[in-house]
Amino acid sequence: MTKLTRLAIFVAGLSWLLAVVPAAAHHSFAAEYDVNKPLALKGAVSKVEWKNPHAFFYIDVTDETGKITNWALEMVGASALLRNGWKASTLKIGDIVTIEGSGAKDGTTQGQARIVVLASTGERLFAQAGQETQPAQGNRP
Amino acid sequence: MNSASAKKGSRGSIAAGMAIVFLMAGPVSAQWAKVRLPGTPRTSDGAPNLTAPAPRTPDGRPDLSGIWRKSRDGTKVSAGNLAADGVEVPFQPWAEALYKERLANNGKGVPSERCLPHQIPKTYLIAEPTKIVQTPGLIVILHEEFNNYRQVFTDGRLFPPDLDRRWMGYSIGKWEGDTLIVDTRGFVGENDWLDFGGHPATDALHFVERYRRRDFGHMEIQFTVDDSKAYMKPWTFTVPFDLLPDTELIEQICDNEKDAAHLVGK
Amino acid sequence: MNVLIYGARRWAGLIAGSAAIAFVIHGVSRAQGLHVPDPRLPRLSNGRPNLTAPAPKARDGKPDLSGIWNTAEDKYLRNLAADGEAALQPAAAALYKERQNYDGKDRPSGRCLPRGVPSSMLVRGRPWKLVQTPGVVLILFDESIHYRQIFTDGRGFPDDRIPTWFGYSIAKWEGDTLVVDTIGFVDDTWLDNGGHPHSDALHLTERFRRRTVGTLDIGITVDDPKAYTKPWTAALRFNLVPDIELTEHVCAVHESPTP
Repeated sequence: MTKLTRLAIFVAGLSWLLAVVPAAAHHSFAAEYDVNKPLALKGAVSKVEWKNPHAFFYIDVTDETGKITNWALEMVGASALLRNGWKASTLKIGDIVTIEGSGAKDGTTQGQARIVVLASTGERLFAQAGQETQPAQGNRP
Repeated sequence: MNSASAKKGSRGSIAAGMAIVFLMAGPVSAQWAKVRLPGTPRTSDGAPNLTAPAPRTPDGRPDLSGIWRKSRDGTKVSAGNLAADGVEVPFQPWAEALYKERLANNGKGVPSERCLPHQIPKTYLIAEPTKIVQTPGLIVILHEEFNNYRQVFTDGRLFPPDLDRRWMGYSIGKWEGDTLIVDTRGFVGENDWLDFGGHPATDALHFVERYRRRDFGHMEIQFTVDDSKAYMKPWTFTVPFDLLPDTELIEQICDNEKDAAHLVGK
Repeated sequence: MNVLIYGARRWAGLIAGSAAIAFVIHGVSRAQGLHVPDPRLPRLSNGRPNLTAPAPKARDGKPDLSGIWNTAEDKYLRNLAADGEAALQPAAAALYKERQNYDGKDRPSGRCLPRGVPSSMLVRGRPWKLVQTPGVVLILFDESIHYRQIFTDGRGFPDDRIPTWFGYSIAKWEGDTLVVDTIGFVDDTWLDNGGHPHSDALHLTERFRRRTVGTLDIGITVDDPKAYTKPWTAALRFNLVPDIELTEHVCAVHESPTP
């Protein structure tokens, strides 16, 4: 087997990590998030940062014991969200939302939000760049 | 006045009244990312005609001006992997080892994760669009990401003898028929990731881009990576672009960078 | 490789004249701009640029403001209100005092963030480039390789604005003056290094007038009722920096101020 072929196999094995445009625009998705840690959270919005390179919102999630944990959810930047039809007022403090996304690799209470569903209207919003895609298979962005 | 003409008269007044109200109502709400751009060829229903011929400047050259984003179809090349369409990358041994290490490290360490400027192809391949503004003697490439720009000098100048080193390099362009050929040299050594996977680059990097606008809505850029310190010979990939009509770039300043602290290697 | 596009004699004249100029240009040393002769500049018989020639015109007959410009004075970066008085609202006055007492600590541009408008244009020795095109005027900065767009295609302000560091700028010509209106600012930027504040209600007017090839005036009006009790003005002057090209000043890491 030639050296180039060995490299090609190695690269093919790992480069599905980064074969698709990372939803995280300025850094590698796989360095921060793990699609094998799917997040499905429901909570009340406590803060919104309508900024770049990422917009963030924070939600208070209450577990069965009544304990509240605050989660940080990362979206694409405010400029990309605006292009996708969001407004600065789309998420308001107190809104109840359900999110689908991926958890942070470092184990902190942070995730990348892919879908945000507003409880008040049932509206389903895509929180990453471009068009909504199917959930990633394996550790793809 | 009989009743028929009275009714006609009153209908006319109502119509006139409505016309006045309509004229006084003012313009419809303006949106940042939806702007009706003058000079856009349109179909009969007013939609941009994306297959109209490529526009030309007064000197007869194709006009590359417009807001562009990488096509979703037509190539596997991505900001994650410039070689995804199968081009064999002729690595120097140290560069191959570095690439493997970067991939195994989840792509951690790319300068753009700290909001430093992207390398040239990566900046064209992310979701945030790019605006090309073509003027006589100078083409300005405006990137939405990080609010960075690049200048391409098409006034016949050569590379200056005392060229300093830049994140964006220094670009000169010339036309060959309907193809714009852009040569870029003078990169800083720190801008050493060509894509998120980590194909290496060095300060020997020399990019050649060939721009061809096929029609109003479609353009193709062929990129050639010529970096003799990292690769044994140049290698090439081609990317199709779609025009985003009737829109505008939205300012994107990196003032809320929070990822760096959370990035995890292997 | 070095095919001469222009005649040898013309090149010799350009190089001789512009090399001399390169060292004495209006406070900008060679280190602050890459030396590149500009064949389009009107020249004197000794090859030096003719900076007192009348302002050039664009294809559409309007004055052409294009060029690389350096602020003529340091004072406006220190204090944009140097020409007169900026009457602060009480809360803004307190903030200004605090910033002055702390000698400019925590100024966002100290953390690689943009200086905003107009102070991005007021750093002496950091010239900026204006590129005038029919539908948009671009201002290119070497700091952080940032740009401003000033739309001259007749569009109005969008209603769905998000606050931005450079604002949203539209402009129209009044005779030979380009009148630029900008709104939609974040309130993070300082109007000057001394710390004059502004709010997100800032409406900035810039009146660009090119008097000669070598001089550009920008009369600014700061209209911000949340921060100032009435509008105030400054008369900014800029000198052309001929025969150079912008360089780059890329700032290092800029992390979020909030965890």
